[in-house]
Amino acid sequence: MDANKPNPQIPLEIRDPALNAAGLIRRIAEQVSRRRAEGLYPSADKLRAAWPQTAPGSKAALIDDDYIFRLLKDLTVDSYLQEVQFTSTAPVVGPVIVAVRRAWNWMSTRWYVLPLFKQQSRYNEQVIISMYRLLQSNRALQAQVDELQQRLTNLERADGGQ
Amino acid sequence: MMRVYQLTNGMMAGDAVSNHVLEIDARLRAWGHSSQIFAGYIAPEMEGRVQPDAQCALLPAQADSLLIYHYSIYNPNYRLFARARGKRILVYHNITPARYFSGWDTRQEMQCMLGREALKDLVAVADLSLGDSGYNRQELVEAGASPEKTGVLPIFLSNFDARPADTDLLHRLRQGSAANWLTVGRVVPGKGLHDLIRLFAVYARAINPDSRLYIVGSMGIPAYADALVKLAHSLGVADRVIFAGRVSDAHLTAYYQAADLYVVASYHEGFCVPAVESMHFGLPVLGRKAAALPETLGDAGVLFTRLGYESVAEIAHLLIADRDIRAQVIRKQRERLQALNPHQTESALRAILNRVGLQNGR
Repeated sequence: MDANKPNPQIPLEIRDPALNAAGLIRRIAEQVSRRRAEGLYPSADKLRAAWPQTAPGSKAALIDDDYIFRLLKDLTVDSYLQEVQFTSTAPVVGPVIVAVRRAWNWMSTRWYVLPLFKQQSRYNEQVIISMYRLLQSNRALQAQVDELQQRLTNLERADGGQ
Repeated sequence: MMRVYQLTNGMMAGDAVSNHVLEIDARLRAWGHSSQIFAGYIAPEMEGRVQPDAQCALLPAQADSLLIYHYSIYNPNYRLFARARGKRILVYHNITPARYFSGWDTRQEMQCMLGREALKDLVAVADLSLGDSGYNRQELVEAGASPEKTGVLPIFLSNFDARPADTDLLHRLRQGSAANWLTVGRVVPGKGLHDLIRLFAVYARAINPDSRLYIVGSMGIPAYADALVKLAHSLGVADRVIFAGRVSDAHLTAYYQAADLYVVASYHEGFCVPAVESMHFGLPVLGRKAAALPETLGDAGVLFTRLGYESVAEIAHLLIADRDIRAQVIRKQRERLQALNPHQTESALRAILNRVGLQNGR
């Protein structure tokens, strides 16, 4: 047997020619047969059942309105950029540190950064509104598809099931 | 002397790409070039050595400069590369296909999708596009790079001997006679850890109950990590599957030294540094035949082509318990390491710099 030729029964590839790949694979096949006969391995069904067939947020869940609304809610919370509030846990000098940092921020950075925060927050808000409108439009389209599907079914019934 | 700038997503200790950037920086300086590093995220331990990426945009537009962009995840700073003057080299460390995050983490799924889209723009402007493996190089060609403008620059590996193990942890891990399985990397679906836990469960329940599986790496997606814990519970191995989280270099060395087997169940690896680290520490490597792993291992290690849990668990057992097989696998892995040593990478770097017209200095 060619050492590098994959064995369809044993899904292993041993590429080191110094290892007797064929002998190893035979040995493994024997062990598998023995332990199978003794019922030692967990069943394939048990292994399969222990893991979800689809990830929790997979496509099936993504078209679920509740999921998208939850997503939009989370996005809304994070969409508004807020200024950092300075704090300090240092005893005695803590309030002084906070006051100095606040003053320095007011003088050097705030006048420049705050308009950017506002611009970004407005942009984020528009994105979320657009997503919400798309979601509503999607719902309306889905309702139309459902109605058309129903009418088609009725027509087919009226036409003798054709 | 030329000015060489390296730009990346983030720089932090213990990260393979960061280490690679630092190694290139050291060689460039040794060869007499001026070298600077810029990154989007700079960990505290890198402050002073690395500058914020925004400053890269302020560099004078000199035609005789070289910008090397290390690309491993989508980052808006890729536009700095697209706009840069002078020579440009793209070093692609691979981006996980978005589908592996689907249903688990929408943000990371989107980032990966954007990252692969941006790759097309990057190869279009790069003078040279490099993968750190032939597999990554092929992805560059698929993204639109002309093959003659691509190449391979293997990753510079850490100096393992400069990272001694945490002796307390090593002592604890070596207590008793348990067979220790190890895997290292982010806890994300593309690493196939759900398959690994099932595989380990077959081994632990049918072959060797006195065994443990250590999963070392940051918990990237809480929902996935929770699902893995539940999986281990339902298979009756929760007490033997240990999630160590992200660890220090000293702890990582201890995990390698205390392990009996390294297992890679990843569906996708652009190179797989931990497999090479395992070879260095004399650990047999058992891995899924997928993406770049077969190339990284060469003829060494053992691959599984699909998950027949029973037979893969049996070979895992042989790699741990059969002295002759284990010794031969380790011997072959040591041979393979020779091809990945830093001198080889250094020669490749020299050749690449020559290709873009950069003299190598000394």
